[in-house]
Amino acid sequence: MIQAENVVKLFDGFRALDGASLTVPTGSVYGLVGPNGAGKSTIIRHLTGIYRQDSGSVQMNGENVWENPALKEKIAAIPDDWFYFNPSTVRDMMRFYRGFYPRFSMERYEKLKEVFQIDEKRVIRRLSKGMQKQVAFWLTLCCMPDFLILDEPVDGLDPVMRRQVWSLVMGDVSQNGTTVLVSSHNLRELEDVCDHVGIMDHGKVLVERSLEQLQDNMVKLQVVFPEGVTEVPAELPTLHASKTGRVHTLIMRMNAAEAEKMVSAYHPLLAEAVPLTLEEIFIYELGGVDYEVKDILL
Amino acid sequence: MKLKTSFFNPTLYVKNLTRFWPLWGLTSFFGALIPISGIMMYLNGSMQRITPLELSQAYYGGVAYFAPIVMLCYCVLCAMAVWSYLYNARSVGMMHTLPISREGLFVTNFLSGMTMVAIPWVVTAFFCVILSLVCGGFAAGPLFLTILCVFGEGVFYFSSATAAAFITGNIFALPLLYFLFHFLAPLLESLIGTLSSNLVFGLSHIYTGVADWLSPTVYIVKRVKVNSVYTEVPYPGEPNVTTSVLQSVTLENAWIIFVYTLVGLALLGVGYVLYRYRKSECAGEVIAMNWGRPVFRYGIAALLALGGGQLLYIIIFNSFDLDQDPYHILPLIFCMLIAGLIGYYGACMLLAKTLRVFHKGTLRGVGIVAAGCVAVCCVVGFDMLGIARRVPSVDSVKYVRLYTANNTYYLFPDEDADVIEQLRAVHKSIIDERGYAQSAMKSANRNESEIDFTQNTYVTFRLSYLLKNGLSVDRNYFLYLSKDRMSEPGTYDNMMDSFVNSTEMKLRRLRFNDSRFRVESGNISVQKRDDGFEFSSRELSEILNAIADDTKSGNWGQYDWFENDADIYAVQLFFWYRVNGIEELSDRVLDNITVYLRPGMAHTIDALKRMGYVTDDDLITQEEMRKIWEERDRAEHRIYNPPEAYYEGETPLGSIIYPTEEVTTEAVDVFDAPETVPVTPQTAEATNPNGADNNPNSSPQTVPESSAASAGSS
Repeated sequence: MIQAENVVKLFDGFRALDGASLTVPTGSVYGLVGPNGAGKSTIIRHLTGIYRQDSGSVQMNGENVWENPALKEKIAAIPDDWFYFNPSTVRDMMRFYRGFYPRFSMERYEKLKEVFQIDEKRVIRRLSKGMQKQVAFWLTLCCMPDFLILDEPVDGLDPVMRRQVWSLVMGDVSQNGTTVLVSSHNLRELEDVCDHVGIMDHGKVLVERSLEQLQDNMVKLQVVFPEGVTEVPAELPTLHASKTGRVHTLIMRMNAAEAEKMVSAYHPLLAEAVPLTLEEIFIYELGGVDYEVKDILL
Repeated sequence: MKLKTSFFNPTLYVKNLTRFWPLWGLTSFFGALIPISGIMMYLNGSMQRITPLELSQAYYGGVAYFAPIVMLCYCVLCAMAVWSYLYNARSVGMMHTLPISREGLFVTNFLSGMTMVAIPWVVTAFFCVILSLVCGGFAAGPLFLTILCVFGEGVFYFSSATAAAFITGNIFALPLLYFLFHFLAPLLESLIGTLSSNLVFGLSHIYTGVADWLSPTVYIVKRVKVNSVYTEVPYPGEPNVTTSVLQSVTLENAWIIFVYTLVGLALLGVGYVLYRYRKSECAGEVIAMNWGRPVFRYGIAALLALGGGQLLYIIIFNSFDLDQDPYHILPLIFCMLIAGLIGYYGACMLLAKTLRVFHKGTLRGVGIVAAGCVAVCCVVGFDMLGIARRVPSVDSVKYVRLYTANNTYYLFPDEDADVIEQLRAVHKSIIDERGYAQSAMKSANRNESEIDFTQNTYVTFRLSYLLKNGLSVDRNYFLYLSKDRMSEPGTYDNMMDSFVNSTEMKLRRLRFNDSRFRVESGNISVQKRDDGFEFSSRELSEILNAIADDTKSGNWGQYDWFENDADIYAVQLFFWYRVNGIEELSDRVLDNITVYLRPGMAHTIDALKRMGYVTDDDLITQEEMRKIWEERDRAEHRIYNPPEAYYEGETPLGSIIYPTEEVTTEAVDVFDAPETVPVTPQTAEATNPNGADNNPNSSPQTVPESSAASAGSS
């Protein structure tokens, strides 16, 4: 389990993290989303042991991450701008990683060579940005980590390779119980892979729930009211309402059964709950407190 | 294969060496070139066999003079290589994500850096051993000592570069900080020395090197010496010809390198502590630690205020023909303030990585810089610390060294308490008349061409009070003297004349019967013949006794401050003394005096004639000698500026034009005369630094180069 509690980090007086707390259950895939400057990369750098928090704690499996090489052998990370030594080839970097991670698997390295199809003797500097990202995944996954921390991991990858990469990650989660924390702006993509989500802004984690909980907490109801009722009754607690022809679409903060029961009082001709997308959940979760929702959406 | 300990990672170690191989490879190549060229030279016969002693001499020379400078430059390059990951957010992120502690990173990177430092030396040493085996001069002991010393120097320089590496977060700032730290002490001493000597009356701008130990390269090069002892032996097959043979070679003060090695280890500890607390997010910052930023900001401001301020003063105010010496306080404050603010805002820009630093938040800093400049100028310029007025008491003094009237005197409280009191009175009178002394010098400088040197002169009055607590109070006054004031009691002119020409001081001048000074050698210069001879030890004793007799009879010793070269022969005697009994100068030939022969010195002239060094014909006065020189100048002028007829074809091209007949004899005679240096007030001391018993401002004189090596200038 990854656990950060009340983490505070100041950069020249600016509170980049202002009491951020998050919990990632073991074996889950946790999506961390938030607008630019929310503090996602900063908390990730704490989780990987690059930064030391000014206060609070950052732990994995109950152990502090900071200056804990034994724990860090189980952590692998791909930052948004992956570093490699300038004249190195893929093989050079593989040797380097192998020298640090005792669980580095050469067997997997050879297997993934077929997946990524990159000449291991090529100098990484000469590869395209997307191919460099593939190399990062290739080597990181070979470290056989218990904790995989990914910061904007699929930026620059083509759709086929994205699917491929996620498939590999999901395979690790299901087979090895790897705990994954991924930060991304691509909510549609996260929706497909994450089972837990945290929303960050202004250095804090505002909402942190499983995807099910989030979806259960909000409902999108399509309603056709009887003749004469042209507007949504004011008594209904809607977060948002729109109308297409005679069909009203209502977003309400409650579960589907409660919503349907509440609407039934107006004898609708049709009342049907439809699932919300992650994007919609964020829009309506954050919209009420005037957040820059557009910043967290593609 | 990962090592179980987290303090060392072989992968990282090898990676560093393979990544930066061009650095150590190229250095190794250049290092190996030296012994390889030696081997080549030996093989083609252009170099003789080397003895083990000669090889040791070469090794030690490398340790003392070559290695410190090479290490200074090379170690910072190695540090820039191995610590380069600290200066980039991407690389620092990757390295600190890896499962290795900071201790591990520190130890591994340090060891790989030290390996990079060592490889070129190992390669060079390997070829040196081959050279020595080929040329027959293998010396194991000196080689081992050399390896130890070079390793020690490597530890020190690389550790200091490592410590500097953790202070900054910018790779370009690392070498700047490193060199600044290494040369800050001499730089500050020079800047503070220049400032204070131009503001404090009597303080001289002499680089003392008191803080050189803070600049190890300077200190090692100055102090660690190769001590070679040679003996004269007959040349093989030539019993009448001798040759110098190296007898022994030692490395003097090698302990200094050992001490710096320990300092290096301490700096390594500092570096480790800085790394432990270093924040990864400081990559790219000029100064990595928060507490270091104000130090950097105000340090740069202070350095610029001191150095740039004085430079601005010289450029701006000296261009307006203000007096160069001493500084005027108000313009100096202005210049220091401008330079200090440039430094302050420059440092702010570097720290903030933006040019937009001119805001209210920096006003406090501007105030501090301004207050600092005003405070320094006022405290020093108005002598608030009483430095200019300080005259140590007799009780606190171990001995006093005085240089004036072209002579150096040593006075000891036990024997010369009264004389030292008189000297203190003279010193006080100079301080009391500071205003007059400075204005008289300025006026004299402006109207130098109008000065009558038979009535007025310049004189140096240099004092060193060596105190019992080990410190010294050094003052140097360049004073204007006039005959009028010399006759006025209470003036410094009068007091200096009375003091220097007192009986005690006359006897002091010759060091007669002074056990602390043992005459080492002496010679005579006869200007008319442009000839010189060295006295034997027996002759030395006889001549000094003759001069002492002349002194007792009042024919030598009265110092004439003013130009009067009609009363001195163009014959000079030089005596070098070995100093004993003065701890700081013990057993060193540092002191000399010059005796100008005068018409009344019957005993001395008689002795010199008896020895055959002078004849009546040589005893012409300086005035007569000057006329001869002037005639020579005229003759040379005629040669090098011939009449127009020459160019009109009357004389074949390439032929020599000789002077007209009546001057030919003289001219030919003086063509071989020694080169002379016209003595001006400014050059008087430099050309005739010590021991002349008369006329520093007299006609052109020939001064042997060796006479410049006086105790006063040491």
